[in-house]
Amino acid sequence: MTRSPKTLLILLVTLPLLLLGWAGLQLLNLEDRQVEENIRGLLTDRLTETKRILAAEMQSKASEMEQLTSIDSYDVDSLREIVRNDPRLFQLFVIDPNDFLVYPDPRSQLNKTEREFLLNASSLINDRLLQKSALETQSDPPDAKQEEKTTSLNLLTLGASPGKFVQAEEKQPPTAGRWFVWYWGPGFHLIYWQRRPNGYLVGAALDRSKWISDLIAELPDTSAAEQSPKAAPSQSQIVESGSKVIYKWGGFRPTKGTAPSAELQLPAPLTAWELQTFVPAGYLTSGKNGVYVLISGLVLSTLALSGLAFLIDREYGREARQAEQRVSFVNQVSHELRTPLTNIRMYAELLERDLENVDTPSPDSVRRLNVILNESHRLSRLIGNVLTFARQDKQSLRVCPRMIVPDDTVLEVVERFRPVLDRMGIETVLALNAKQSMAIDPDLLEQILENLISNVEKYASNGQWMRIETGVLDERLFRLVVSDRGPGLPDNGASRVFEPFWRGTDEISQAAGTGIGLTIVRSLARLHGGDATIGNSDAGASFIVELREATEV
Amino acid sequence: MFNTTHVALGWGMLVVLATGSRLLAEQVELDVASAYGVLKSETKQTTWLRVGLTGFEMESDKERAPVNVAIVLDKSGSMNGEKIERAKAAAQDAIDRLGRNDIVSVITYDTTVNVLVPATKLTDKESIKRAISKIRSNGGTALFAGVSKGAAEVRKFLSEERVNRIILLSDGLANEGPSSPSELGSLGGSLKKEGISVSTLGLGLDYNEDLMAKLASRSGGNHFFIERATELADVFNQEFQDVTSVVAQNVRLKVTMPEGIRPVRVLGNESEISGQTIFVDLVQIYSHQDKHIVIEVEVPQAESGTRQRLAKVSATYLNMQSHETDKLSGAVAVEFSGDVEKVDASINRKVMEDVVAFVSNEQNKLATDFLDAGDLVRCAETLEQNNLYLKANADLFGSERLIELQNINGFQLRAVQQRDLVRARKDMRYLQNSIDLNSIDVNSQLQVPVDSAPAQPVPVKK
Repeated sequence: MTRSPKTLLILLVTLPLLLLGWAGLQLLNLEDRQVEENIRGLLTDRLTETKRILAAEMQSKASEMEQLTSIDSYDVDSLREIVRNDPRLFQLFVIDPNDFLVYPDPRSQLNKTEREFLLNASSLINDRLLQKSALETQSDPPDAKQEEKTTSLNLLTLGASPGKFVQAEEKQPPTAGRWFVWYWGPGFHLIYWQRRPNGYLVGAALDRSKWISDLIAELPDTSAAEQSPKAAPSQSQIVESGSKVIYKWGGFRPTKGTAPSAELQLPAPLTAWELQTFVPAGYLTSGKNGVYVLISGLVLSTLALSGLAFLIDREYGREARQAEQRVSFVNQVSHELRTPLTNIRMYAELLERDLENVDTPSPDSVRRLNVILNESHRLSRLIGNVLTFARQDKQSLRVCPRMIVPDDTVLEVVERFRPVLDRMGIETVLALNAKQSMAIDPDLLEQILENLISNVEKYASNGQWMRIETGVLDERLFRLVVSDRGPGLPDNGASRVFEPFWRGTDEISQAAGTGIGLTIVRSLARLHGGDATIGNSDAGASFIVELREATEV
Repeated sequence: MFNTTHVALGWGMLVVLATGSRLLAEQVELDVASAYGVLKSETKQTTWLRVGLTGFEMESDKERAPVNVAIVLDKSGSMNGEKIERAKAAAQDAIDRLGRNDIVSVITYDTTVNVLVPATKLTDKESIKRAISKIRSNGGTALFAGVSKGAAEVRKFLSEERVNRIILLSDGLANEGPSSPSELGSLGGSLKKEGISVSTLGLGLDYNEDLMAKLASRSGGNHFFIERATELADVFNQEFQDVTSVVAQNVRLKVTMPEGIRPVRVLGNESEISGQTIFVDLVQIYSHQDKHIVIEVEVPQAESGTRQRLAKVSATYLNMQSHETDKLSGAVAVEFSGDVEKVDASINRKVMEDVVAFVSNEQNKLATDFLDAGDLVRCAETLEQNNLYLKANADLFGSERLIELQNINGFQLRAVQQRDLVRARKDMRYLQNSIDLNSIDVNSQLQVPVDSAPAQPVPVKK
């Protein structure tokens, strides 16, 4: 009886919590995604700012180089002088309108950097010019083998057929020069070139370390403030060709293999460079805060709901306990009452027999004795009901079937009620059709019928009519129907009349009753393999009880 | 026995032309000389020329050129403990040494770079020293970025009138950003053109001496091998002694040889040989420093009794005392004679001493190459021969300096024989840079007997 309310209470607590938790998590996820998107956006913005710095620096380098390569006289000494003194330059080169490399001229005496330049520029050899220049350089130089290769350097193709080279597209007027990206040694190198009005192509190979160093100088350092543990940690870096780190800044140290939180490709000529930024994994989400809020919300809800459940449980439990106490008290009292009642009944019956032997008994005495007998029967029934109810709770009821004719038992009971029924003016109609012998517990049947008649007497006496019908539906099912013409059952009562302590009305004026009669009827019927139900009737109430014949006696 | 006339001839013509200098201002001295004043006639031969510039003494500290220095400190995890504390103390001492007109910036680097003190005039020494005292070590070694940021700070006050320098301290291998000796060397070369030199202080036994030496020599700065942190203070002292005694800056030499005289190679400072002309950027001259190069030339055969000019030299530099650009020029010629005695007698000991020093230095570099190739036998052999070569010439010319070099070569030989290769190699690079750049003091870390040094595990070279 207490198990299902407990389960209900647990459900009452857990279901809302589960719902709350689920909804909270959904919300948190949604928020996380939004926050992550926002933060990634912010990080990308920051990288875009860095990209802008680098692009501006490259732009200024382009205009510097545009100026530097605006050379129209190609005297070797003055070109060397420029290379010697300009920190930005690795080497200058000049190609004449006939595609010949006039500086550094591979046929002349080269200095160290000129030689190094030509060696590394050999990747730009154009085969078409190889023979032509070989013919013209037959006589000199002594170590021609190496230099023959470099003679054929044709950088004209830079402008003509960009297909062969990595061409850096710059938004510049067509007359202006261009960046050209050139791979050798430690990474990519930058060449800036322009064609002069005189048809010569002047190019400047930049010192890679210098321009990288210049770009690093433009980028932020890891300021002391950022290194303090309070600030939002992040680390940004420039990566060349996907793996080689050029420069890092920021106080955060991501573990190796962490994917960057934001990435940005750099525009030409720095296309081989990528900007990356890292932040701790927690910073991409709304963080532990959201989880904390959710968890504390859940904890609070749990507490509130548990408190509520506890209160409900206590309130409900008090009622149940009170009812239980009542039953248990009545039960105990009933036990105590039983013995004296049995004695009263026994002596009253003895007295009745004594009175029969008296020739002329006073009618008053007979009537008074009958009252005593009826009332003590009534009391036994009540006590019997209470004890049955208690036993039913303890599941200690037993069916003790005997071979009986049910109608005999019915008649016996009706006879016993006769004086009361007569006194209350209730007409009793009997339609008894269970005359065959069946294995049925007579005490049980007796108790059922007593309760049903007692109900009619108590609640439907104003109908002045009662009908008891018996029958055997098939060989093994005994059926008993008790109908009356009383007020009938209230609309909401049909399903609840069998519940213990339920009464159609709480009005004090209504007939007294323990509220367990029908409960006992149903549980006894069920115990006997049948059931007690409410029958259809136009007026009043009708109760149908079916008992299944026991297989064993 | 030397014939004084010939010796005088051997020194060649010494012409000093000072333009626009004040009467009292002191001058750098240019000295151009040939190894022999008289060459053998009727044969093609190789000989050496020496071009030297000698600094003068600044009369007072007031006159010295203000310095613009970026102290770039490695604070990677390996610097933890005594090293970082000593480095901080040394940097603080250095700041005490400087004056109100000097400019200092302090940059620290580990995995990333931090401009701790941006370039500023030294008006508030205490706050800078406080900032230095807060340095804590951890992380990797972003050496390239550290130097780049240091250069950016120096550039803020870059001026010919100041001694522009980056002082880089590192105890480990560069492992963040560009990290090869050639990339750092190239950066050094570029900085030198800007007028910034980088002095590199290699601390302990784990730094990359090739990278550090190359960065220093290509930018015209000093390179030091400092085995023990206790020596940091002395080295900082020595470095700042140099930085605060610069008497000439932007020192450039141009040596032109007549047709027929072929320049073979230049020993010493990095130089450019373009045809018949040699260009050398000597960067700076410290007080009393004897800055010089030796040129190996091929001389065609000539008849006895003729004279041949070997080279014309012009030098320009910014006089840090007078703040004027001075121009010097000189030339050297030789006579040809069939008389072997006359030829022998014309030897110039001063030139020969430097020739021997440079040649032995080239041999020392060869020994390093053998060491790198794993050929310890030939490495030891080369050092041993070098040792004998230095000893013979020291005796011949009565040169204490050559004896000193011989000793250092001897220490290195012993270290190689004892398989103390890491120290030997670092000491070799230290020596090579000192000789090539004409450092005033040439030292060795191997002079201290190994026993007295704290036990150092010898890392396996990768």
